[in-house]
Amino acid sequence: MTFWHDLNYKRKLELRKNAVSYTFLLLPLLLLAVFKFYPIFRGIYISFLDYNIFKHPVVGGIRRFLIQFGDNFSISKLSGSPLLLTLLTVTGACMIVSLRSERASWIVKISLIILFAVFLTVIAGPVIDETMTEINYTVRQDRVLPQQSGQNYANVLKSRYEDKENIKVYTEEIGEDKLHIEVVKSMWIGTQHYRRMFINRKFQRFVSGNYWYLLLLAVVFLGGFFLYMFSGEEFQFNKFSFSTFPIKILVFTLLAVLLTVTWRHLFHSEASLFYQGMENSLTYVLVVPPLQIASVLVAILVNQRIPGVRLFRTLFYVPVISGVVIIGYTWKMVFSSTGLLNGLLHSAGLLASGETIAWLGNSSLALWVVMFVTFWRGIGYYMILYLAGLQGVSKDVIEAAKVDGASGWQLIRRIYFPLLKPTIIVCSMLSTIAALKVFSEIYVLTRGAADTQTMVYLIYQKAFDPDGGFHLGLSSALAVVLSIVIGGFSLLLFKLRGKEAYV
Amino acid sequence: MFNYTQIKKIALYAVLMMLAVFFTFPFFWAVSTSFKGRGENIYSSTPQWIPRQPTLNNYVRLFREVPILKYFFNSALITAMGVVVDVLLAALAAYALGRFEFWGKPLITAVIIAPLMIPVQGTIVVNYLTIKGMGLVNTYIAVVLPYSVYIIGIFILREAFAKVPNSLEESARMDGAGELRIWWQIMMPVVKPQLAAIAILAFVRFWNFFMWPLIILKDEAKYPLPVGLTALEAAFQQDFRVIAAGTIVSVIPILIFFFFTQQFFVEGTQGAIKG
Repeated sequence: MTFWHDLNYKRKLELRKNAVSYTFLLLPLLLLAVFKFYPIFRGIYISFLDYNIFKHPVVGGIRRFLIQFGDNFSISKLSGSPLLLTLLTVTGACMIVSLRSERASWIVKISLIILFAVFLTVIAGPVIDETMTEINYTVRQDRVLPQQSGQNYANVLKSRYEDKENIKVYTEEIGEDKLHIEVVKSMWIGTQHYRRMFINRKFQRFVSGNYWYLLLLAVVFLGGFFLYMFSGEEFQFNKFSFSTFPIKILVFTLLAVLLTVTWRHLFHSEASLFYQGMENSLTYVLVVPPLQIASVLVAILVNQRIPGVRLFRTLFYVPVISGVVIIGYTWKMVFSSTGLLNGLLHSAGLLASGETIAWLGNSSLALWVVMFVTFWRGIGYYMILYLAGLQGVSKDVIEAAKVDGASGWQLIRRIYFPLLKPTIIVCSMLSTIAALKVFSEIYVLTRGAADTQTMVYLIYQKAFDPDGGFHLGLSSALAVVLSIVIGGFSLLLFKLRGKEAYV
Repeated sequence: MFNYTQIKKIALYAVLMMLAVFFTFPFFWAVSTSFKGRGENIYSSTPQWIPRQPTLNNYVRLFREVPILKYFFNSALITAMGVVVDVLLAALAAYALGRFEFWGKPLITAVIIAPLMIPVQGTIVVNYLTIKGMGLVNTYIAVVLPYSVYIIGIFILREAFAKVPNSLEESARMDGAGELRIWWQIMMPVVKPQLAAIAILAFVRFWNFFMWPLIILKDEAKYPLPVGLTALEAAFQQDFRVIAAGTIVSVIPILIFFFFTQQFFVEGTQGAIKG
């Protein structure tokens, strides 16, 4: 208390203020630390591990053989039978007698020992069965058991792996009387996941083949685009004419689509899953954000002062608000092979009767369908953002241009696009980040089938999908790569617009 | 007959109508499918927009055979929890950032902004393990917990708190109010509009929440609506009539909500870019 009394008033006030502020900040900061910062470091660590459901070395034993007798063959059933008990006793007696006698040949001795062992194993069925099932549970891992027996089993497992630091047993209660048991083992494997992601047959073929021109094209063209996008007012670099902006965007979009189509066509068949995921994400990023700039036109349309325009704005915004899963299902009804689109094509005579196009099952179409849904869902959102940008466009400028006799297209090209450029850049960044994060559409529309798995889908699939095998290490490696890419884009956005880009 | 501006106006409306059709026809198709009877083929070479034998059978099946009301309740519960936690925590942090000068304020601000650059998808694996370590898998709390700090909300509220006049706070202090009391009774009512905006944004965020609940909830009885819809698809094996009914039923609440809070949406979304 003397410490407190010695302080002068001003100092006291300052200390008090600090204490109060940090008290207010404590809970949010704690949660951020646990769920935002800690995952970065732990994620990087896990990505160097083979962090996986523990595959127990199967002591298959007798069960493997017995199972061949039939599906319903059960050891415990046999062990209760008096016949087996008699057999065991007789064989045991014979064995002891033969071992003691001098006359019995060694073949008889050994075969009697084996026979006794077999019967003994079978008779000890209940005990062995339990151990066997344990092993089986361990192998099949994602195991749901009734509460009581599950708890017992989990305790057995826990005590078994007590001294092993890299094996962990997790139990979770599910529903009323169910327990979920997982045994997870982690093992340091270094950069193997990353190597698997980047270096593979496809990559090697790309390097050894004559495809360097593609890479060159991509670099030149992407570099040119970014140079162009980030030149201008922000960097006092007014070399490019503003009026060509929309045309450049158009050319960029066309080139992007062309490049992606060529790329996918050339390397289609040889992709490993990881590479495919990255490639699909790249396709997404190259195709969707440039197309999304079309939202400017929609925004200009609904920026007119005409009666009923608010209703249209609301209608265009409905897809944004409905939620991705709902959007996914409504479009699934359109794109499924028995859906609306095939029906329309039939009735228009574009498709022979009896023929259907599997929009979501064909690996060269499905990704484009999913990208279309993402694009469609985004228009309303970016429309609203561009509307905000349009509020900043002074009416006098538009009026003056109109008086000078500018046509609609000229108005868009020479007035709207240049004035909206900052908004367009921010929206492009936002939609690039969004395109990298796409998950729900893919989950709903294709479940990653037909060559549509993006990075995020793979992260989910490898770690959490029942078929994926709980590869948390691999999933973390993918997450690290994705976070670096998205983090880079976010940082660029941040540098470009300051924090008001988000806030 | 028509002069130039009138023709232009008609053309404008025509384009707008076409766009409106483009943005809504999947919903209408879903509505149509959901009323189609069992005998009626969903697929025909000339799509039937108006069901020939309209029936409510699909909706009846939906409510009878699937715990859709349970899903709805789960969604409501998760959303309510999420909104309350989001708003309260954002208000706590924003109050400290907006009203006080303290040591290391720039650092703390940076620490709060930084996570915006980390994608949620990059943290799910570790968050799953953290939640697992806490023994919270398959609980509602686990769905909300990692998303309880709404960073954009903090910054919207920070500006609002900073604008509150000092005299208000000082007079409360004169009357002997404690810090928590000033925050709760004096400051919170002043920033109500911003609180409402954040609540609405948080509502949409949690109502349409999909990936995380899909991972963290293992019990079907705890699924929120979006995850429930995927369970519905599994249960009805591509019978689009019932799936369509489920989609329509789950889109209605959010549309009603949107209808009443429209203006906030536009402002909230634009706020994300204007600052």
